[in-house]
Amino acid sequence: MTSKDREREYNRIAANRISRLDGGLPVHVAIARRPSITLRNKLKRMGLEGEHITDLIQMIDEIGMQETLQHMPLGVRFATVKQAQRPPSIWRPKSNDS
Amino acid sequence: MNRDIFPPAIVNLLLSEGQRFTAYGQTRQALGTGILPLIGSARGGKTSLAYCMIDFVIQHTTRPVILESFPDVVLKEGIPEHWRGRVTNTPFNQIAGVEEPAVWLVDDTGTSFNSRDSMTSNSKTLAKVAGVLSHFGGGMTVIFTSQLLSGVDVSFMRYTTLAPCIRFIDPDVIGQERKEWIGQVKNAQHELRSVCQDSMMRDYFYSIKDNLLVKAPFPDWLNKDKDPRKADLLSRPMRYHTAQKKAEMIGQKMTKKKVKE
Repeated sequence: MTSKDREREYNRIAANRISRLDGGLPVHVAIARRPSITLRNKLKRMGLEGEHITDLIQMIDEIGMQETLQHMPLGVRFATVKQAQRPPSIWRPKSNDS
Repeated sequence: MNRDIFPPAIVNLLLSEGQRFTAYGQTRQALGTGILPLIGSARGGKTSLAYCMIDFVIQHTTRPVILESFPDVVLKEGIPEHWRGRVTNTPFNQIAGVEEPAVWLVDDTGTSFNSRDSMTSNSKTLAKVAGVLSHFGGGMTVIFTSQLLSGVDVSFMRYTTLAPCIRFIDPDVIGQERKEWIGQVKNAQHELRSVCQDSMMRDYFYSIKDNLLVKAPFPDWLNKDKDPRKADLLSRPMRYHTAQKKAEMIGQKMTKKKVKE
């Protein structure tokens, strides 16, 4: 096992343990940037709520996530793309006995 | 048993060379030679699947079938009626003497052709034969069962066309699989878990070559409730060898009695 392999394994173990702490971290804390947290806090203190506030939070989260993903390899970025779950590929005989 | 019960990669090796079959709407000619490794943990349905493939061969081809080193009692009492006259139990080391495009079933390869015995004459035969399987008898197919590919001598899988089928493998054992197969074996287990209802995942198997899950057939003559003796003869044939033969299979040498002087 190379040191790279060990590093990957260690990272997987660490991520797995963090995900078990109090049910894991929210997405905006785990992979977005600091403004996602500070903006939430600011809006909360100001008592602001509503659809436009949710949109604002979503936008700042998305910008933060994209900044994080920018440093990731293409494969990781591609794997995060939203897609429909693939049904299992099962052989389906046409049963035309010839 | 319908002709398209198995996916193309398997049918390709089970039919005789040149026999036509339809795959994804196109007519193809079967290769008729290669190796079908059936991998799975004990009681996971490897041998049952092998019998279904043999049944397919008997129903859809004229190829002779060889149940390698099976006890005579299995051939006399265990096999279904429609197999009679088509099946023999020739040992694998006599493959050069077989003149027809036979389909061999080598059950529990981990015992007979173990990677730790790679230099024994039996294993050497197997390894050499893999390279010329298409020449012998006009093209032969070998179906072998094993609990892991790491237990089988690697030479056997180097030269010819393979179509591995994966059944349930105990998660604690998978780590011991060969590094070149472990990814595919793990993927197969993941795919099987997504559809199987049975605790040993015997309702489906995964064909690596086709990248497909396949519903596992289970004929009546293998059903324990119908005829327990016949089902057991077929399910664990090696049980019915003599004690001496069993000892030979696991490499024990019979000790000579010392003569007192």
